[in-house]
Amino acid sequence: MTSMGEMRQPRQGHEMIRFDAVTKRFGTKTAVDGLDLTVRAGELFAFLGPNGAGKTTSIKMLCGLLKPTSGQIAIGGYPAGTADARAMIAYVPDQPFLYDKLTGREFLSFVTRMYGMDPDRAAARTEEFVRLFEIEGFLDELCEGYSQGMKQRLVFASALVHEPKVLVVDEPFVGLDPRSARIVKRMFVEQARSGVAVLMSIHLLSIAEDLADRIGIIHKGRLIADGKLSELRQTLSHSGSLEDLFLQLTDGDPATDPEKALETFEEQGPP
Amino acid sequence: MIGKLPEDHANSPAKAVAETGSMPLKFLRRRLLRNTLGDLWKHGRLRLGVAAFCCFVFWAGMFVLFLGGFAFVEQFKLTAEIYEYLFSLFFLTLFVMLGVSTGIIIYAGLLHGRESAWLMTQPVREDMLFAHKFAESIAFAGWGVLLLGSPVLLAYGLMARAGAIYFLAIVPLLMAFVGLPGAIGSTVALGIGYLMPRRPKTILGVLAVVSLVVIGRFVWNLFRTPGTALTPDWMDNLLGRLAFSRHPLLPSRWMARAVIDLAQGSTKTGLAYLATIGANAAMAWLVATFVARRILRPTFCRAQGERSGRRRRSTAWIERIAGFCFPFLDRPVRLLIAKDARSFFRDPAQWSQFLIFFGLLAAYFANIRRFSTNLESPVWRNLVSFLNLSVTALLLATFTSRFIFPMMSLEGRNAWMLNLLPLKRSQILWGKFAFAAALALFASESLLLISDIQLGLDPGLIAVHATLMAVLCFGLSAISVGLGARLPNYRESDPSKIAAGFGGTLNLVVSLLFLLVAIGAVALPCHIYFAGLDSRAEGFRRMTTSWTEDQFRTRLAIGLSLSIAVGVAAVVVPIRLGLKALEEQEF
Repeated sequence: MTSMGEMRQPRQGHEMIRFDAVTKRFGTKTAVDGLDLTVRAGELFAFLGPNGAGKTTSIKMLCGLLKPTSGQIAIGGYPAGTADARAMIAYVPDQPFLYDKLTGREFLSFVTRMYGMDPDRAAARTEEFVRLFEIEGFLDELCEGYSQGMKQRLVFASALVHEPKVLVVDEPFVGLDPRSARIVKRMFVEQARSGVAVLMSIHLLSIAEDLADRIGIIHKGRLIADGKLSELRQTLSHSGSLEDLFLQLTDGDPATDPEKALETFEEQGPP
Repeated sequence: MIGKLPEDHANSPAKAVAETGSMPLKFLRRRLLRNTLGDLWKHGRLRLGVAAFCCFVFWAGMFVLFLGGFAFVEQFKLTAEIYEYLFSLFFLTLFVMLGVSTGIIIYAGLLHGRESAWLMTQPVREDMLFAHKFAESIAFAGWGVLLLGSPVLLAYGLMARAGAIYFLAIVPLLMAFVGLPGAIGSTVALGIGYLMPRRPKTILGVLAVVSLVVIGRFVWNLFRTPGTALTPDWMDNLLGRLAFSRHPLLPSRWMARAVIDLAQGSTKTGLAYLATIGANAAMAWLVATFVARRILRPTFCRAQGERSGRRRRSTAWIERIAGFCFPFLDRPVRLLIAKDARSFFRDPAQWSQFLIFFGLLAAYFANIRRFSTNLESPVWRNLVSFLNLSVTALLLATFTSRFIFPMMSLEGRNAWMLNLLPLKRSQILWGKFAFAAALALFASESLLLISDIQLGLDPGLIAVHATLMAVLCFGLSAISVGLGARLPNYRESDPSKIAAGFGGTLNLVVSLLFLLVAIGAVALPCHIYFAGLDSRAEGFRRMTTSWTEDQFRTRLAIGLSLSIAVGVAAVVVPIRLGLKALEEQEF
């Protein structure tokens, strides 16, 4: 049996995620509009944008849960949603799924079996992530009794245990305590440095600022900025924080500009 | 454009995954079953015991009923042809029910379930994912068919003095039969999801209405069979109208033939029919998995992405009606009632079932005089009136168990929010009770009035029936609301699963017991009195008694008082239990 671990490692800088003129419409509403984006192996990409900007829709298309209306998406050269693409990717949604009537250990075992991992390698990887995410204390209890943070840590372990080449995470810090959040942040950086392409959708701009190699800002379905933070600052002649930059780019939308929203509230009263 | 695909197919990332086949999903199902049963054994022995006892009582009741039924029918020396008609109809009904229910389960579980959304991101092949969910739904359906079908077939085998092969073939027969409609229903469900992803509930609702109209028309035709009932001519006409059920291409007919041939010793023919059913079920399953492999992912994507974005019409009228019906309640409680009513009317799964079943009953009651020739006899008129009342009440009991009982559990997920509102917790419960009782009263009393007026009952008796129905409506609503708060299931978001759980089953059992006592207390004196009036009525001579009208009124008043007392208890006890549980609930 060929385990995933025995497969060729992608070279650093190799294109692992590619959106090519991707558009997604829901009826008359355009959720994603001509998105062009690449994330390379070893790169940590932060996907930013206001609520409803099209981040989750883009991620769902990448994972094969939604089909683009036009354009193409590839993972490691394979079209998104195909068996090859799914074998390379790990996806951690904002509301992770676990089987209530499995223990954490059984859930990890199920995941490693699904990816056809060699049992010894699977056991070693499981132990590694059990230690990293500090989940041994409750690993043999049924998942139905886990708190949100415990579930989140187990889901991260299950996402990484099968040695994915692409890691896609949607709002990864929801429900995590500061210690767990630090572990997850360190893990993201380590994964990227080991050659994994990491795409992270996030609202916490300070974390994106700290961790990301590259930042993309999506607004009303269009990618309005893409590059390193320093490049974005230079392009926009901006010297402030990422928060200021974000608000400047998405300016004019009261939903994302708190100053404007407050002004509107004071002028018109509550909606 | 995306560049060309990697050329090294031997090192395809999915290769290792493909080699594992369906083993991981089998591992998953085994562990889930083992852990669920283990957990139930550890923490829910009482629950398990009650469920097993209820199943046994149901099974034994069915067995005794059918054994008696077959023995009765056998007195008339019916030919095997008549049995073939009976079994063909029985299995045809089961076939349709299994097809529809499996289709709905597959549609909901595969296209809208959280588990399948997660598995879709994993390296699981689409046909294997389908097979995984199919196995789950067939296990449920198979269990139901075994519970329903085995007592019937066992009773028939005993009556026909069948050999050992017949009894050994019962389980394989039923299991093979379950697979066929299940596979067809699943394929149709996937097709509907693929071709019509918008407003799936409405489409399923329309399909359900169409099916019921067809069934209604069929029943209507049966009732209009020309000739005097139970005469040879009438029987010939009736069988002529049922001839479609014996079409040689219908699997229900294969089942009927397999059962009869095996029971009568034609083992080879019987086993050939069993093999036909098995082979067709296997073929239908192959077709279903082939279809799933081709269209499951695009269907899933459409189901996820093609949600209707239409704006909802204003439903301010619901608040106005709530204000009109419940002026004695505080405004926040009326707003809660309006919220429940909005949820009800915006979910076609709820209102369509309500409308279909109550609509069919209304159509039947409105035409009741066409269906029966014995309605001039007081005893039959009384009997039919109570039968109609009981059927309406039974329907109401299933409705309250299915839709009202889960309401508190569903609210529980957001109960912290309700808890912060300027409301007492008890008001939340009373609001739900008022909503349920108002809906039940409106539907049931209307049906009852149609039935009693059509039957030409005395206004005094109509008043008694109306009072009894009001007692039943209040009682059933209170039982479902009270027990719903006392035995909530906050983990489950699917109301049908909440209703099918321990709390829902207990709620149904308590509701049925309540109906038995409350209706029996009034029905019994009525029946004894009218049977005494009409001593010529066939089959009632043993009940003949000579109560005067005054004696009857006194006994009826006692019976009605007893029903009201039971009704008051059915309101007070569950509501108090629910209130206590709700007051102590921590969120």
